[in-house]
Amino acid sequence: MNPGFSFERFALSPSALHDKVPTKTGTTICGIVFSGGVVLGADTRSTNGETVADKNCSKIHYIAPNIQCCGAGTAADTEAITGEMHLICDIGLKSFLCE
Amino acid sequence: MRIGAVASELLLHRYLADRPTKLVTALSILKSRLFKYQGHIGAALILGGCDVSGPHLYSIYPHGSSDSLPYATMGSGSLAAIAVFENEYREDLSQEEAKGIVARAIQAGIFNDLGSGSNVDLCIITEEGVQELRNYQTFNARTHSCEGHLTENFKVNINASSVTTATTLLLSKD
Repeated sequence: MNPGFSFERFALSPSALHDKVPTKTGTTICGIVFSGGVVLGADTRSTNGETVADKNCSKIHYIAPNIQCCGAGTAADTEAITGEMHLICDIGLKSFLCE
Repeated sequence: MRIGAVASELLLHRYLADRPTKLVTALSILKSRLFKYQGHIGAALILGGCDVSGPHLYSIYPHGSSDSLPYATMGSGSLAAIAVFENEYREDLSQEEAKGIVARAIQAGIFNDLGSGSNVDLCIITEEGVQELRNYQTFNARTHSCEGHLTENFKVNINASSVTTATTLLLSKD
């Protein structure tokens, strides 16, 4: 299986990651279980620093016919990981296991 | 090793063929992927859905940990939203009550957290299916529209400002 990021060179320049300023993100997402199912909720503001990038974006992502997922944090990461999850659920786990 | 991989693949494929994907399958794949990247994939997720074992809700943190709770919030507005849940949640809620509580929780985020704003989106997942309510509530609609469609409040009539003095200057070509 692919191990993810390589941290081998991290020891050579430890400042490379530590000096990086964290990205400030903002969102409200929530969910609740009721007797017959689940309700998910999300706001629709997308920000880039102090600027509103999109006033009406969608943060509730489709995964499978019976599963949805709200995403907070880096928009590109939430889009990518839920999109990948949708593909895994759709075409089966073959590609995920053979990685 | 290879046989083990194939066997588990077939097992999982049978799972997929027989019934809808289970929530825990999606949960464990997301968790392992996020843990593998040690928090560098900055995704904080709330996973919800219905499968053979009923409705489920999971919150997944960027480093790969997860919670299974009856209600969950994430993001910078999570404190504002959880305050509403802590106050209003009880067991055996009806669908309409659950929708109301979630909408109020998102409203708390929209109005009290600067990183959140605009409209409320809802998504209801039951055994019967999924109902997406895009822009369920819009509290921040524009008060005026773009140029060419000016409303009365923003229309400025011609000669609305009076001319008090007028001076003409002749500019020489040199």
